[in-house]
Amino acid sequence: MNFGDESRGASPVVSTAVNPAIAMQLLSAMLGAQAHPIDRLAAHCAGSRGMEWSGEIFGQHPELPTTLDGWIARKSVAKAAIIERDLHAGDPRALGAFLVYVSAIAGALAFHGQWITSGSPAEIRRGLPLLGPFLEPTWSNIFARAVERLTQMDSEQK
Amino acid sequence: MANGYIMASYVRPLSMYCRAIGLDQSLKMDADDIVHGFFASRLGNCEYLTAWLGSGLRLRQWLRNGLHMYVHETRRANSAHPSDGNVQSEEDVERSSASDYEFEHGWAIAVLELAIKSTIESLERRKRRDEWEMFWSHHIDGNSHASIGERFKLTAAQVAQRTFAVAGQLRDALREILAKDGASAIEIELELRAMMEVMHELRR
Repeated sequence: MNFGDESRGASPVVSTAVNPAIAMQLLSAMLGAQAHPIDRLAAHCAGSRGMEWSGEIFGQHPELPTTLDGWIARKSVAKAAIIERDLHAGDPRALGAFLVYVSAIAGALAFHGQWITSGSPAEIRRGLPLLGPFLEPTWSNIFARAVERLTQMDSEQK
Repeated sequence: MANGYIMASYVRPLSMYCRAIGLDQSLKMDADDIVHGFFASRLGNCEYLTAWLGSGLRLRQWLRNGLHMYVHETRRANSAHPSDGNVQSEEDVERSSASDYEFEHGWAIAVLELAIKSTIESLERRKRRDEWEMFWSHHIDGNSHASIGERFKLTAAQVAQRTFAVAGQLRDALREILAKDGASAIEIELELRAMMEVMHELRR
């Protein structure tokens, strides 16, 4: 269902057809503030314009950091821009900052094999494989490498 | 509970499940026809749902188990050698556990569609259909409250309030459906999270 250019008062065709991406978005909306930010972000990225949206976010930071400190700095800037209240309300700007935050963690893992956050490891671990497939190829690959690195780190610890 | 409601809610997930584990191929029947045959054989008997109430199972689980029994009976009825049905049925059980997500996915999609339909109808009755459009534009199309407000000549805060209210109505509609499936009030959130997990699994 897309109401894009319709003016107020128009009566768009009602569709109740739900696909998995829409289902995730609806469930996030219903869970409200209790939705995990990762689920909310994944639902946003899974939407019909999700890849376009995430592409615009990444487009604001076209150069990938070349050092671990660069990824840490990017993560810190993004973290400062995340307004918790807006994040839980699904505000696209807060979600955008959260995407940059998570992608900086993924980048540090993928390129330097380093875990750079004190945030919930379980939540980030769950989020990386969840978000990756919804992103454009460059970032999808980085997230995939980050997941591989995490798996490798797990086996090294055993 | 009306039989019409059960059929509207459960035909789709049960049909998806039938296809996922190949019951349609093994019976050489269309999956929808199998499910309709199953409902026709069971729902005419009010004892069937009374027995469910005492089972402790969610209705969807009760119906899925019942579907297996129905398929088993159908095989035996169609087979010259009754034991053939038993062998096939054991294979079904193995495949069914691998298809739990297919079933839960189909069920989640079906109940979400029912909840949407119910919410839209309720809003239309109160001449507040615009609020559904605001909700969809924000949560599904990803538009900000401010940009939606420009279109509807409302402030961002007013749009936020309306979309929040619609999310609550959708949640209430879903809660009613889940309650009919056997979930208690305190289990609703767990059910929502479980539905989210099912959606995640199928996208990996």
